[in-house]
Amino acid sequence: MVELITEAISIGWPAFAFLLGLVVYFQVKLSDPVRKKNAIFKTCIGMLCMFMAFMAIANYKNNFHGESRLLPVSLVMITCLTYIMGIYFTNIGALMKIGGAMFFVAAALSGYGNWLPQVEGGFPPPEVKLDFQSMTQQQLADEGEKIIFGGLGQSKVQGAIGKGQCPLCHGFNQGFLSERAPNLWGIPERSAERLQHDLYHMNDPAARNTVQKEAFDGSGTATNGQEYIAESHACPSCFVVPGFGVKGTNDTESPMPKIHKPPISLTLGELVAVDTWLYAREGQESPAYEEIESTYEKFIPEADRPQASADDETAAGGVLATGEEPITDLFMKAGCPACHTIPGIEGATGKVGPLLLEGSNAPQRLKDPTYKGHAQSTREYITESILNPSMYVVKDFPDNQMPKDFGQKLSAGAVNKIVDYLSSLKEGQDPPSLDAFN
Amino acid sequence: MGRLRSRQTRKNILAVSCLFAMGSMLLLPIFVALPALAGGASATGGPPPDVVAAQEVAGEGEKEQVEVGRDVYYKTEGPAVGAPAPKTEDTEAFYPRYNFESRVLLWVANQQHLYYGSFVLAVPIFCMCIEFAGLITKDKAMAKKYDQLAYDFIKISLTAYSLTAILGGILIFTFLTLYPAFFGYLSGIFRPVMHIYALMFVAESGTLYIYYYGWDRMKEGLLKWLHASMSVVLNVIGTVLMFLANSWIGFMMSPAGVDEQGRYLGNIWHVIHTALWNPLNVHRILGNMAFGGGVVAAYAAYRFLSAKNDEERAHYDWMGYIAMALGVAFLIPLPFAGYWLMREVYAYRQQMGITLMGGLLAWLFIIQATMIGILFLTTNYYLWQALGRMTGGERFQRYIKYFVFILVVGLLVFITPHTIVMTPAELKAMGGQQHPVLGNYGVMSAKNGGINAIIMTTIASFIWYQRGNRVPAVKWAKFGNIFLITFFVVAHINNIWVACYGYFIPANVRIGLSIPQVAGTLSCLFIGSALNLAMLRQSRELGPIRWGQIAPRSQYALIMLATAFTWMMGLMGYIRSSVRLFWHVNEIMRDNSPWAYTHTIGFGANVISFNVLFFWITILFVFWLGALGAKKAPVPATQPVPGGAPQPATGH
Amino acid sequence: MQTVMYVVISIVIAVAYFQFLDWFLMDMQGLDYFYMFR
Repeated sequence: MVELITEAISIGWPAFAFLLGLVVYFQVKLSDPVRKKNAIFKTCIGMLCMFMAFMAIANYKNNFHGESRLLPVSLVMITCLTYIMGIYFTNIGALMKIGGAMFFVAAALSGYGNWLPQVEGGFPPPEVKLDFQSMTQQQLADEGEKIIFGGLGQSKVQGAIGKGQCPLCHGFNQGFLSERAPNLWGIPERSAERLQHDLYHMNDPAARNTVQKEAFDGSGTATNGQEYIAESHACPSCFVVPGFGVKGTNDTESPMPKIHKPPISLTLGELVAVDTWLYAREGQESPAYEEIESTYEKFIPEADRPQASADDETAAGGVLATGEEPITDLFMKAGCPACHTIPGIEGATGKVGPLLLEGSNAPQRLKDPTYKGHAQSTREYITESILNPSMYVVKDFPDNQMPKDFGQKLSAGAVNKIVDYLSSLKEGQDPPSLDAFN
Repeated sequence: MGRLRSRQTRKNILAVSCLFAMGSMLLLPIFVALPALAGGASATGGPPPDVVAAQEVAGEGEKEQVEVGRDVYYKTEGPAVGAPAPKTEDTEAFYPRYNFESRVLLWVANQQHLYYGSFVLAVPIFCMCIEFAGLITKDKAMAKKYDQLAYDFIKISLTAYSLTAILGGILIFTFLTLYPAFFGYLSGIFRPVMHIYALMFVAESGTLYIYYYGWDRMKEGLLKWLHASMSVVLNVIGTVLMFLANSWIGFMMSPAGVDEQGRYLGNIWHVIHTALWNPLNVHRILGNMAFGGGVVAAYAAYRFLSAKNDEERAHYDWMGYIAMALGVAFLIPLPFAGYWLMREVYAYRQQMGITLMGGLLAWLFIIQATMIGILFLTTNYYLWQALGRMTGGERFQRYIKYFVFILVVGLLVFITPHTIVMTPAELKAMGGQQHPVLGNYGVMSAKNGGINAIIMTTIASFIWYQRGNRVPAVKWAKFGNIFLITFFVVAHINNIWVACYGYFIPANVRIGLSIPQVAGTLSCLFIGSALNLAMLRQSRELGPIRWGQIAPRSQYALIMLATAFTWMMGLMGYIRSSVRLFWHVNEIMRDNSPWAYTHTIGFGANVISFNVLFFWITILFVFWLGALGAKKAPVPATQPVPGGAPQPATGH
Repeated sequence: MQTVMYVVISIVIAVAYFQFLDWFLMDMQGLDYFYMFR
């Protein structure tokens, strides 16, 4: 309290001095005793009010940022002040009383606000973009597991799948069936062995028999195990493990999509995380972040590196697509282009599953005597194939390759939209305009 | 005589054509604006013209590659013609600053501009209503009174109008100096409509000035009608202005028309017509009207309290009553508009809704609920006081205590929170997110029950007030009275029943219950007041309304109402703005200034109080100026008026 | 007697009105007003 008073006087002394001067002035100048008394009285009241006002200001000044629960007190003081002034200065009495009433209401509300429990929002979380670079090995590996399987600890769960969509084709655990793509157990050691493979042609890409010889012109081939992993992600067709090529190409073309390109589009940071997990889960020391990153920089030209996007709504277990999105996005989100070639959809050049010319294919399949499904029409056939892929498996393609949970991951609207589009694709015809499906 | 008349006619024709010329000039900006807006509006079918244009540009000459971006909300594609949202950092370049929190400075500048802006937008709407009321009323004396009142209203808003413009300028300067990157980005996005906005402002001023200064010249016959229709034009322009201003905040909360990087995609209609634009528009119009009513009521209270004679007192008592009635008339639908806005917020981003109602900002909604309760309580209090100026009003006095009971119970239920942010210790002490007993009252249907009970009681108070000095004399008066009472009782019972019923059915069915509840309240409003008016068409008067003979404390109720409106507006604005948390533009442009965090409730309440008091100090000054001018005008001789209401004391 | 008649009529009308309102508006939203009674 004493502090407040001294503070108030130190702020407001010129005003007090002025009013004191006025008192002296009235004392000397006015001769009419009634007027003199009146004037001096009013000036004194004025001083009192001024004092209270400066007290309030001092209080406000002290408490502006800190514990401001005393603020209402100063507002109440101002309220009293205005009332006193309203009483003594009748010509502005109404104004002062109204002002006082308003101060009172505001003070009460302010007090109420300060009386409630105080929660501060705190600073925003760091940018949603994960900063892979500053993570520890363990954090990186955890992120990698999330990217591959959709969640921590999901690597042991059958059918778990994340943004990277790797388990769609690759097996990850020892002894797991992995028909369409090599099982990745033991890859940290095996990767270096692959460089010695007859068909690999280390440092001599021109000698390769594959459809794509280098990740990009002048990139060269891998020279160590980690570079091999990076090259396989960036340029799956640069070297195809025998037996895992697209059917009929004699292992010169890989069915795997380029992992940095749509639909999967992993960023360099994410790729590093994935690789770190591959090492970490086998109890091996993983190369440092920069080391892994540099291997990817070797095989992915700067212009092709995807940017981290802030929103990553397709969390594990959630709905992949709602049907609201344009048709291209819908396919990308659902992941179809990773395995299927879909005419008209950019980037949908997958070779794991059949070509989806369903406008022509479906009627033939329905006539196939081995067809045991329940579909009667093209639309029904496509819907059935999405929701229950094993009902009819196209010849030369393995069963149990396509996820069976699209019924949970796609909304009815999304399935309809996909069916609409696919049923309009016919052999020998240009794909329809995408605008009609957006 | 004939020549005189023809001269009069000629003069009239001249005046009318002049007015038309002026009017069309004023409306020119709108017509200029139309093609631009239409261009945006046509975008739903086929590519918008801008896209075509951009593609043409891309095709020929420079071969400039226009990248295609996808709208974050509408999911349409368009050429990314705008610059991406700047990625700001906490540096002087992005956030220049004084030695003070920039956000609070901007907050104050914005709020003051908004207060004045909504005041000058609301008052012409009142003017319009009252002027038309004066035009259509058969009672000559009453017509004159209404006309005078409308004039009084617009007179107040005129001074406030220039202050609005000044504050708008201050706001822009504050933006430019403190948040240059953000403001630059926003104005880049809204470039196509920026000048329309400015031109609309010019049109608004022009119309307002003609409307005000032409009042005396255009007070007879056809010209009067023209004058009245000018108020419609004035309000249309004002409303469009507000909608445009709303599109900015709508864009900040729920951006559309830009791609993920914040690049403008060439369709301004998408930018304006965001997810929350329309709910915000409706909510704001209603809010402005309630607020405007409050301010005018406070003005009347001020003049009442400072009145020197009974005539003045009578006039300002009447003015305060009308303003209060108008304000409350718009206050009643306001919670429903609020529900709509909230539903749209939930539909847009559930997380945003949760932050508002159950998360960080939930305590602010408890303040708001308390304030809504206070507003209705104060309204009731004023009406009960106002019964005192009517002969026969004392008949109702003994029932007031029951009304108070219903209001208090309703309020207590209404302000009980459902879930709230708590510390772990508090959680443990309470044994869960919800209080074992009180938590039950926090369910939405119970809360709706609380507020609906309050609103219904307020409606009943209004009906009382209308009957204050009158007794219905229609043949079916007895049945009417019994029916009215039964209707209200059953409405209350139904309200309680629905509120309780909500506990026994699943949540998805429970949500739907709020609509019948609201409809029940609205039935009371419409059926109740219609029935009451029908019954009062033939009525026996017990005595005159003694305007001016009301306890001064009723005027403090008006002031309380006005201050609470102002405070609540500040509070809701704060909530609406801070729900974006650390985004300038939600999910598009991050706020990386040192002030990106959310303040405590106490700090927020203090700044709101400061804003409220600052506004009232300045507007009291405006009132004082108005009174200063009025004092010089001679007081016209009063004529006795049927119903005993004296003439207004001031002339123009 | 007349008063009682009026009260009864009023109650019938009001209760019927509100029940209808509740049911109708719930039905319009595709929800079942009589959920608990089925």
